Amino acid sequence: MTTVRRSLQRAMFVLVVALVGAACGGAATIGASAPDATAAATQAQTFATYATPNGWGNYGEQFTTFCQEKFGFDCNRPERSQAEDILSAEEVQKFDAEKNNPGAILADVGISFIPQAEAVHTLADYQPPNASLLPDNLHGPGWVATFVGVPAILVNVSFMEAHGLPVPHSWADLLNPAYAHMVGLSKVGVSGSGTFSFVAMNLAAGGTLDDWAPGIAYAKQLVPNLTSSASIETFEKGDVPISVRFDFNHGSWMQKLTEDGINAQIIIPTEGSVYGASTLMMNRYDVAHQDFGKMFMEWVLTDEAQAIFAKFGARPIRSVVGDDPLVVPDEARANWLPDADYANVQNVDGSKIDPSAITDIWENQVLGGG
Amino acid sequence: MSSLARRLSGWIGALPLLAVVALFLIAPIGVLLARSFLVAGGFSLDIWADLLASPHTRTALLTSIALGATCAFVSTLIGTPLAWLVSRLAAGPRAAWLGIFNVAAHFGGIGLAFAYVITLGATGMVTLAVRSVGVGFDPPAHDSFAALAITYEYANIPLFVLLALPAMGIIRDEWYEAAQTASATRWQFWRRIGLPLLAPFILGGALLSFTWAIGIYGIAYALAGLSPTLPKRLLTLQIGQTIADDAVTGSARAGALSVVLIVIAVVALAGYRLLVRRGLRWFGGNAPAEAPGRLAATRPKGVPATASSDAPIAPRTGNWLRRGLFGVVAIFLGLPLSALALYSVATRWTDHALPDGYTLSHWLETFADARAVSAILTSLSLSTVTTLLTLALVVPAVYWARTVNPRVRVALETAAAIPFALPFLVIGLALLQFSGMVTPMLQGTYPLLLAGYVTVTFPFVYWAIDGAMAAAGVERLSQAAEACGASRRQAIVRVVLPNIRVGLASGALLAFATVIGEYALVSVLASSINTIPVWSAHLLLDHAASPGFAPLAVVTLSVFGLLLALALVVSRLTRGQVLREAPEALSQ
Repeated sequence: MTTVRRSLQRAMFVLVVALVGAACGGAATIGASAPDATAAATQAQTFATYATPNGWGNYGEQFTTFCQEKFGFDCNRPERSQAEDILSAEEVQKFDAEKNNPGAILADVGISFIPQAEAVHTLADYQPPNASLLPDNLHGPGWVATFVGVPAILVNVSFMEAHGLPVPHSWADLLNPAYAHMVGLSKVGVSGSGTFSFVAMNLAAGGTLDDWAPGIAYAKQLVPNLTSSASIETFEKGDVPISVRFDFNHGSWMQKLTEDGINAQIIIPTEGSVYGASTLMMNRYDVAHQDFGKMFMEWVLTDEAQAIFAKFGARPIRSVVGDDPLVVPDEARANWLPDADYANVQNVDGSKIDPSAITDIWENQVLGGG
Repeated sequence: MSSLARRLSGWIGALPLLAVVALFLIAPIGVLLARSFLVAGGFSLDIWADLLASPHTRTALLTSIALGATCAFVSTLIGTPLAWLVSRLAAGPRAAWLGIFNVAAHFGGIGLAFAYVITLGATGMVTLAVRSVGVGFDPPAHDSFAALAITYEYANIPLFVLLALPAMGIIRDEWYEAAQTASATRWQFWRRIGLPLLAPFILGGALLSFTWAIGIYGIAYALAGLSPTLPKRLLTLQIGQTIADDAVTGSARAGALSVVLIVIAVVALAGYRLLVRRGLRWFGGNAPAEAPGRLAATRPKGVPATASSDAPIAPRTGNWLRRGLFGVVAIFLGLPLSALALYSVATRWTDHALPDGYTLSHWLETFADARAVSAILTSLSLSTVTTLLTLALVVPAVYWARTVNPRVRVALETAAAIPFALPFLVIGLALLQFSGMVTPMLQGTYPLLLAGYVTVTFPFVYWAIDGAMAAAGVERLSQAAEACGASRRQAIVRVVLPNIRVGLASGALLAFATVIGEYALVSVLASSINTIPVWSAHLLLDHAASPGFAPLAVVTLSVFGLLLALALVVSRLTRGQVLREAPEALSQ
């Protein structure tokens, strides 16, 4: 028996050593050098990306247009889009966990998760030359901001009229006790729209990114009115007739709501809101697709790519920053709300918003100790 | 060397299974435990101190325990008489009920949560129906304690029945007749004889119901996990969230939280074993309870059914009670299915008791939708491959345990208790961390998920096949085969397999059903693999992009229908027989 045990132990030991050896072999990483276009064309046939379905941010059209222009073929294969539904934190974990066998070169991630990606060193060293068009807090090695969402209020006006309720126009209006359990919000901390909505509420109430007390006081009053975020079904039926989410999410609902005969209205709260940035990050370890990744990072900040984001209903990042913002062509702005509504919307430094700290504030100080 | 070879040959049939279990279950759980005491390379209680100091952990722990206790209480209260009545049914109806219970018990996760929403949600079928007759009715919010408890019970009561059913066989009809002769009333019989005998098994079942309820993740996540107001904190939800909002230290903290669940599970399982042993003392203490009998109901039994099980004690006077209980249970199990069926053919469903209009287009569109179809195919293939792989690993292992080396049996019994007691979420997390350490290239891949599924389904298959092999008398069969000059392989393929078909079928059904509805493991291990539960969660919870609920109703109902069909086939094969762990020793 001992002999067996010993030889089994030995076998296990050898196996574990081999595996650990493979894991710690020191993966090659992507440096800051400029991309090689010829290599990129080859890489375009095999690359993959996370959390970038065709319908999100128009990434399908982005890849198609980019490859047609640069290489003369469409590289948006179905296998291009992997892990479409994973959470931001999971993308970072995947990049880190898969360092010896990277599954994707690029991923769309909420800006608040960039510090976590930096902490575990999963970002490439490269940043494209045109990243300098953005303020310093909207780009860094291995990532650039791409487009923004603005927390907004979608109201089922038909339902409100039928029940004799007023239509809310501001964050303060949402505190109306008549809206008990009617205001849908995503989970604060985990979800980008939930987190940035809370940031917007805090700023509207007079807080800053370092002072959350006003937002906490406001949100405590709001809690009795909150419920889980609306789906298009629960919104239509009136279970959740008020939905707080990014403006572009609501924009994508409007067509179906109109078809179903629901009068709905997207409202940017009068006190103002914030720009919550989505970013594109590049996996440090997917060296085999580095040239393609670098060229595409540069592409997303071009005028043409920014207009493609705009067609999705989101404001492209370059249109909302700097002294000389990008002017988006009219045909790409078809789904937009009037610019005047956005007068009070401000930029915040999203990388200063730590998701787990926000979860902590929301759970401990807004919802209370239990 | 020859001694090594001889010793190895005593284990060789079980080695593949034991190796898989060691690598993908025991080692990961061990590492998970160890890591909760390691901070930056050194031994430390920091993580624990933080966790235990947090009011959230305490609230979550208390809420989880309260929810588990509520579920166990209700399951016991309804499940005990139900199990008794089912055990006294004729073979045909019993087979049908067992089939239904087996499906309901495994129809967990996202699909069940969705069924709650459309049945008893704010605009669910029942809610609308009650309102349409002019009664003001506000059902419990979907993220409330009551909603969670009701939804858990849908799986929990059937599980309790399946577990308690074997024990019901220990009550012999002659005892009741003897008590009657001594002019005892039925009530006196139950109070003085029936319930005291059954009590340890019922309590044991209650303990296991409690453990399962605490470990549930999919339903809780779908109903309450994304609620902004977080009315109910649960341990499993805290674990899921810790992973989701922190890529840097989240998994270490989640690991420590999992250890709390492990401790609860181990204590409950130990309590269960103690109780069952006590119960068996009455019967001379032989046949110590082996595997917890979650699947017992579909196990072929070792001894022929006693004639009395088809000549029930209860029915003559208890007809109304029996009909009433079966009726209530049938309505409870059937309502969500009717809601699913109506939703899948509704054009729109506004505020009437029934849909506004009917259409078949959702069915056609769903089965033409690329993502839905890919989810269905992925889940079907994953369930099938897991089932086949598990069967291939378990059959030789059990054969070895029964015919070659009894020590194998001890190893298998111990290993099978682990996935039975531990929440899948914990197993998934352990596997995630462990694979991150030793085989990062496997993370998020189909093979790793498959390995995870094999380790969590093998106990079900093991018990089913072990029961079947016991019933078939495999020891004698294999001796006879070898006496006729058959090789071991020939003995297994030609003689043993044909004799354990029923066990193979039951085990396969349970493995298949477990995998097709499983959410916790896939969400932690490989959320990029689009299985039916992953697709369903996306539709149900990621509201921004959701095309509505109709496709979800179509797929959920289809899965339920498929499982029910399979279960009824298997149940007919086994003729509704129930393996009675306790009486196996008694009746000899």
